[in-house]
Amino acid sequence: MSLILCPRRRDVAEMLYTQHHSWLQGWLRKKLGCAHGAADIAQDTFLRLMASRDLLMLQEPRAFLTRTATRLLIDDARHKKIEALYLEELAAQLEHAHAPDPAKMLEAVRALAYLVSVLETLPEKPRQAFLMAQLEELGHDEIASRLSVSSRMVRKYLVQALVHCHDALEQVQP
Amino acid sequence: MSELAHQPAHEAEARAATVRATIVRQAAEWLVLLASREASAADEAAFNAWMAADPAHARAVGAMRGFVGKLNSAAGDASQRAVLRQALHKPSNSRGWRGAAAAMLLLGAMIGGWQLFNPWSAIFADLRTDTAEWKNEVLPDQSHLALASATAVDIKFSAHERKVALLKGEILVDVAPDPQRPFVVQTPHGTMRALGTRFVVTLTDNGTTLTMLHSKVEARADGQEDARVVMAGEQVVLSPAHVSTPVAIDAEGVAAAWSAHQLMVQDQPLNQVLDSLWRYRRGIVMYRNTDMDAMHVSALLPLEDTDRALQLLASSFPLRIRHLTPWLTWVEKVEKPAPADQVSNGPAQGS
Repeated sequence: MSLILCPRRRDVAEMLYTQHHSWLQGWLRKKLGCAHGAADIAQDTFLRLMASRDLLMLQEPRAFLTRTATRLLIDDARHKKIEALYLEELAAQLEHAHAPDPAKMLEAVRALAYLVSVLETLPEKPRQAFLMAQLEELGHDEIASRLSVSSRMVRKYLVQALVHCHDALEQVQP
Repeated sequence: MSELAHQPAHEAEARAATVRATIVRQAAEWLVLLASREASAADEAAFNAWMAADPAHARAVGAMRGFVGKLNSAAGDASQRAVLRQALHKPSNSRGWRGAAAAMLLLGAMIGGWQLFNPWSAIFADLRTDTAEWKNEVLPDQSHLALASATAVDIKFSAHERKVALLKGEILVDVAPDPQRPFVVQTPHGTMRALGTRFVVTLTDNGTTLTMLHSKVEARADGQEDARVVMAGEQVVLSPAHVSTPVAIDAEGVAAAWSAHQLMVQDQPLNQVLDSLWRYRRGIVMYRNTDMDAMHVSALLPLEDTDRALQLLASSFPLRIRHLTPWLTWVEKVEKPAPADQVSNGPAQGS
């Protein structure tokens, strides 16, 4: 996949890179305490910047860069955590089941990280209600008694959860 | 003037956003109603009519069903369901992700929980080594005890007996003579009573391997009456109620490999070799048993650099090694032999 930029966009991107790349890397190094990781995240951040629709209208490049870099750091930590949890689960079951295809495993970690990224920002009660309904396949009454709320409230939570997921999808897809 | 011109456009945009939000809310309410036991045939008909009324309705429902579908397909797999439960159990707070520290804590708690129920718990061991760490200890009786990577032992010395319990990993014992107090190594599979001597004990899930370097040891499997005397240059495996027939090994070679932090294997199935390497690596090495057990290895492999050890194996066998993540290494058999330029002059040799 290649990114085609019109000359003007490329000029802007180049200028931003020269002016801010080493600053961002320094900022990340301080935050991470690791030069190698800082270089990787800085690179990814600039890739995002270049793909950004608002590149030409960027008012405060450094604010955009730190915001994007922070989001990438969070994504990275989430991915690592999900991966560790998943490997732990697989290792626990390895004796009984055959090991899955590695490509499928990576795909599963990505899918799980995505699902978690959407659901982790949902408030506690609606999230619990939604997971009980989807993962445990519990009925509304059962969820109500487990959360000590009315069935009406459970339905409200479930609606809130679906709206939240829908809005999260819209943010990802431009 | 521009302000006047823009205001209606602004208002129209805000109104459109409200309409969109209303559609999304209605879509969610329909899906929740249809999933409940209270939904009637009339409800379904009304839903279908609502869907048909505007393509935006169907789009909102489609997006939600798409997400729920992904969630359900992950939840269909027990491992993935468990990951979702654990990852989403804590109170929502995206700031909590500020590092993998929380993940490591959680992982630690899970492992810790299991170890508390393991009678051969290594948590409170007297001596232990981390992955890729070696340690040499002199015991109070002047016996020498060397611990390989990821090893834990308990030391129990009394007036009548010197006992070392191997909880996990591998040790090399060099016993100081003491006719009053026998020296015994104990594992979940049995006991090994030293008759003045030097030997290696390796604990795996499948059994305890005893490798004699010098003199002899009396090995007794758990639940077995008779002991077997194992002589220098012999190797046996202790499993419940059974001590295997001794096989000959190169005692000097094993001793030299031990002090150089190398793994010496003689005609071993490749899967066993990979299992041994695993103890010296952080993370997981995965492979299919059926691919590996037909390949036999005789090699001297560096244990302080297991990536290199894997490369050496790949240069002699039709293997592909993929480091999917720092945690996960995948080894698989490939049909074509490795290209000639990858064959190294290293110590690994296929047999």
